[in-house]
Amino acid sequence: MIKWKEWQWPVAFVCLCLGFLIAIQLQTQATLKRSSTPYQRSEVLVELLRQSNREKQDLTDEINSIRKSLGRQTAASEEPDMRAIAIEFKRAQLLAGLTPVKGPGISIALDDSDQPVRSLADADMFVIHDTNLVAVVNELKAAGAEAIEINGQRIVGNTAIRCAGPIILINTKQVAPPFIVEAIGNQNNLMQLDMIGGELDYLRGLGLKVSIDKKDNLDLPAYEGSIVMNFAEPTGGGD
Amino acid sequence: MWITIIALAVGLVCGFLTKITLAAAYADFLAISLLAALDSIFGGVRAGMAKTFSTKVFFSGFFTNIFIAVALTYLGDRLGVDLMLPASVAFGIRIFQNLGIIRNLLLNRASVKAQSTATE
Repeated sequence: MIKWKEWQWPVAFVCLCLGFLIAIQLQTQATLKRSSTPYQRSEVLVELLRQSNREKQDLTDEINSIRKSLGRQTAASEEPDMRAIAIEFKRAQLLAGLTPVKGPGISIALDDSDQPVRSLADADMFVIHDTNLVAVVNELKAAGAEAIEINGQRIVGNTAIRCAGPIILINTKQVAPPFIVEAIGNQNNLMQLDMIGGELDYLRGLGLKVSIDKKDNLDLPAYEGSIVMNFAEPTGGGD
Repeated sequence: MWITIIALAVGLVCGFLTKITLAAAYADFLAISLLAALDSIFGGVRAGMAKTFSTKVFFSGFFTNIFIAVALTYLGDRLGVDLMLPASVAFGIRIFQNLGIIRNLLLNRASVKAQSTATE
């Protein structure tokens, strides 16, 4: 029987602890490596995102060209019925915001404040929020705007303006400040948006950058998304 | 010396069998505890070989080292300063110093043995 020196027992005990700790640490590190996204993986994801965006752009172009050719074909038809349908169709497209439009109106520029943020708590007060844009659009509609656009996104009947973290989604497209809101309509009426107690006044009071100008020649793009009705059905009447 | 290696193996097996994993936030604390344990072991072996080993000193050193190291790491985490770094550097230096002394002691012992066998 080998006789152990007295000091080896405590050291052996600590060795036992060490082995236990090492095993736990190895297992922890193994799970950490599995759960975190490696750097290369994120690059692949970025590339996938770019590719999807390209495909999306191609499909959007296709939608637009199909819409155009549909309008042309109905308009070019010889039959008088089809002519009438074509006129109705164009009008419907115009009302739905599916055609680019031009005309006089106003342009509103909204940008985040460049004042230094005093504390983390009120950082929200220094940026434009989705609700601010919704309020501006609402006031424009109330003032009789016939067509509205924010940063290239046409505002139509089913447009949603919502917050998605640091950016705002309009028609599911990402937009970021500065926001340029353009509206076609009676210029004098639209300019009244800059009234006391209005949304623009409120935003200016917060220190955000707000400007409103008359524009004589505005070009607004068509709504690019799709309008699908799966549940709503016409119930007659109206014609 | 074998008993320490056996104890290490038993500890490893126990750790793997329990399948305990810690949250990512605690991985740093465990890592620094590991270094503290390693430092204590080499310190203990050195003291044992130099015949200055004291169980009290050994265990008190082991526990205070772990406690201070973990506390420093936690404080560093809170302050945004990597205080784990000085702790690991200190432990690393001590481990190498102790290893050097252990090596010297082993070499001396070997040369003494060689001399004694030569004189016999």
